[in-house]
Amino acid sequence: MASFKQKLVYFLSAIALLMFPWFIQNDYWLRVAIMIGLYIILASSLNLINGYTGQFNIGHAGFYCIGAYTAAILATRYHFSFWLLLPLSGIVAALFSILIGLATLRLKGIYFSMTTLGFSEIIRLTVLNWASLTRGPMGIPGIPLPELFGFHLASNRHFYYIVLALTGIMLFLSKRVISSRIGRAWIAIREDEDAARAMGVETFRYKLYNLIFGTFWAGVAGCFYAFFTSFISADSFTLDEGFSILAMVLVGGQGNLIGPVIGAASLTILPEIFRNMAQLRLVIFGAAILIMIYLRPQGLAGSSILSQKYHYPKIQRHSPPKHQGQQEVSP
Amino acid sequence: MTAILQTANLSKSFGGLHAVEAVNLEVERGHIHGIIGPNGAGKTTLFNLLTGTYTPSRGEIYFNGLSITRLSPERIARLGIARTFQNIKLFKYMSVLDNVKIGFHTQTETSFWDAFFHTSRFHRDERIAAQKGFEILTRVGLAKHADDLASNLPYGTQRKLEIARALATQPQLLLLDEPAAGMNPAETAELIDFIRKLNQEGLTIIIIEHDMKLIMNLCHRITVIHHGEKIFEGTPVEVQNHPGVIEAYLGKGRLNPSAV
Ligand SMILES: Nc1ncnc2c1ncn2[C@@H]1O[C@H](COP(=O)(O)OP(=O)(O)OP(=O)(O)O)[C@@H](O)[C@H]1O
Ligand SMILES: [Mg+2]
Repeated sequence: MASFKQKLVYFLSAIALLMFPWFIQNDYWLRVAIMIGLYIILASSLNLINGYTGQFNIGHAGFYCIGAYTAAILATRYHFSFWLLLPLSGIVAALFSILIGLATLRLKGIYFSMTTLGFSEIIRLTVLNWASLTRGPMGIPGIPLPELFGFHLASNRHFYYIVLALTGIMLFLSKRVISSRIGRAWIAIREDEDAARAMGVETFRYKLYNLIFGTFWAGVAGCFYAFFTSFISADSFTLDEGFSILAMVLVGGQGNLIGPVIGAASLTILPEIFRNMAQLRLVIFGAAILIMIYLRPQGLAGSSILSQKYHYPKIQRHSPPKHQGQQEVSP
Repeated sequence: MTAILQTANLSKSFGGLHAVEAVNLEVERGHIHGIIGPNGAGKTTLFNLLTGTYTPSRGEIYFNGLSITRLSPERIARLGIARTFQNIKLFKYMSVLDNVKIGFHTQTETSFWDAFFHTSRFHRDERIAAQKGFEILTRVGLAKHADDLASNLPYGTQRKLEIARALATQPQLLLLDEPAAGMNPAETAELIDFIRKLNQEGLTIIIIEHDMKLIMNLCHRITVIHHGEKIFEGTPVEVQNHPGVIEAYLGKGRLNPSAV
C-alpha cells in the first residue's frame, strides 16, 4: 500500500488543490484550472480505453458531445437537475459506446478505431442538422446554473470545486478498478489478447466493460462542460477536439493514471501561454506529439507497470524496469 | 481406458494447405502424451485447435466426453485446459506476479462494485490471487522475481513463467508447446523433473517438443505427426524403433537418427 511519503504527497497536493482558488484571485486562471480539470477527466477516461486495453478510440469527442447535449437538452427543456444529469449523461454516452462495441469489438482493432472516428463526426453532424432537438447551428444557450440546497452555484470557484471533486472521484475509482481483477484483465488484453483468452479472460466482454467505463466519464465531462459554459454548440465537439484529447494522452503517457493528468494540464496551459497563436493549437499539439515520440515515446509520465509499485514494496526489485516505449499506438 | 481428450477426424486447412489432416487423438487421463514431428508438421496448429484458438475445418474435439469443438478459447480455459505458447506470449509490461494473477481470473469474481468499494469479495479475491500466485511462483522458483517485469526475465525463465501462469488456472489438462526451447541442459533437466512432478500430482499433460531426450524420458505415449497427419502412435520404445518416424525426421534432415 501507499508508503507514508506517498500519503504525505497526496495529502499536501489535496490541500494545495483545495486552497488554490483562494490564492488565485484572477478569474482567468481559475477558468484555466477548471478547463484543466475537465480535460483531465476526458484524457484520463480516454486513457482507460487506449492505454489499458489497447483499443484505439479516436472519437472520444463524440461521447463527450453526447454527454453535453444530453445534459443541455434535459436541463433546458425538462429542468433536470445538474446532479442527476451528471450520471445520466454518462450513462447515455456509455449506451452509445455499447452499440459501437457490440458492432466492432470482435473485429480487428482498426475497425473499432475507424468506427469511433466516423461516429464522432456522425454525432456532430446529427447535432448540427437535427434542429428540432438540438437547435442545430445555433447551439443551446441558457443552460441554468447548478443548484445545491437551494443555492445557485454561479461562481468559478464553485465550478472549480465541482470539477475537482469529479476529477478526484474519477481518478480514485479508476485506480481502484485498475488495481483489481478487472484492471488486470484489461491490461492482459492490451499485452496479448490470445494469451488473455487462454487464461479464461472473456476478452470481448472485458473490452466492452472498459469502453463503457471510459465513455461514461466522457459523458459526465460533457455534462459538466454544458453547465459550466451555459452554452454549447456542435463546434465544441469536432474531430479536432477528439485529437486534442488524444494528444494529451499521448504526450502525458498512456497506460498509467498520472500521464494523462500531466498531459491534460500541459496541453491546456500551453495554448494559454501562446494565446496569440490560438489557431495554431493543433499544430502545437502535433509538434508536442512528435517531440514526445522522438524523445520520450512512453510519454512524460513514463510507462505502465500495473501494480508492482503498490502491492509488494518489500520485495527487492532485481533489474530496474528498463522498458523503453509503450506498446506502439497501432490500432 | 479413460480418455480425457479425444479428437475425431480433426482437420484444419489454410487455403490449400492441410496443416492438420484427419487426426484421431486419444489422450488418457493421468498420462504425459508427447506430440512430435518435423518443423511445420502441424503440431502447434493442433494445439490451437484443441484450445479454440482456431476453429476446425472438420472433425470434433471431446474433453471429458463433452464436445468442445466450437467453444471459444476462454470457455475451453474455464473447462480446464491450459496451455503455453511456442512463441512466448507473456504479458510483457506486467510484473511476474501479475502475470500469474491473471490465471486466477476464472476463480475470482470481483465486479466493478467490489473494486470501487473494496468489498470483502474484493479483498478475498486479491488474497487468493496474491497468495496462490506467490505459491505457484515459489514452486517454479520464480518467487524472487515476483516484482520484475516479465519482459526482463531471461528466455528460459520466461518459459517457466508461462507454465506457472497456465498452472494458476488450475487445469486438468496442460498443453506445453516446446517448453524446453531456449533452455540450457541444466534448466531442461529441472524442467523434466518438474513436469514429472506435476503429472504425479494428477495433471494430464500433452507436450510438443523437439528435444527427444525429454520426450522419451517423460512420455507415456507419443503421437508422431507429419504433414498434418498422424503417422504413428505408441510408447517411446515403439516410436524409436519405427522406421517411418526416423524417415520423417531424416526427410527433413532435422535430427540425427541416432538421437531418435
Ligand atoms: N494461421 C496460419 N495461416 C496460414 N498457415 C498457417 C497458420 N498457422 C500455421 N500455418 C501453417 O501450417 C503448417 C503447420 O504449422 P505449425 O506451426 O502447426 O507447425 P509445427 O509442427 O508447430 O512446426 P514447428 O515445429 O516449427 O513449431 C505450416 O506450414 C504453417 O506455415
Ligand atoms: Mg510449433
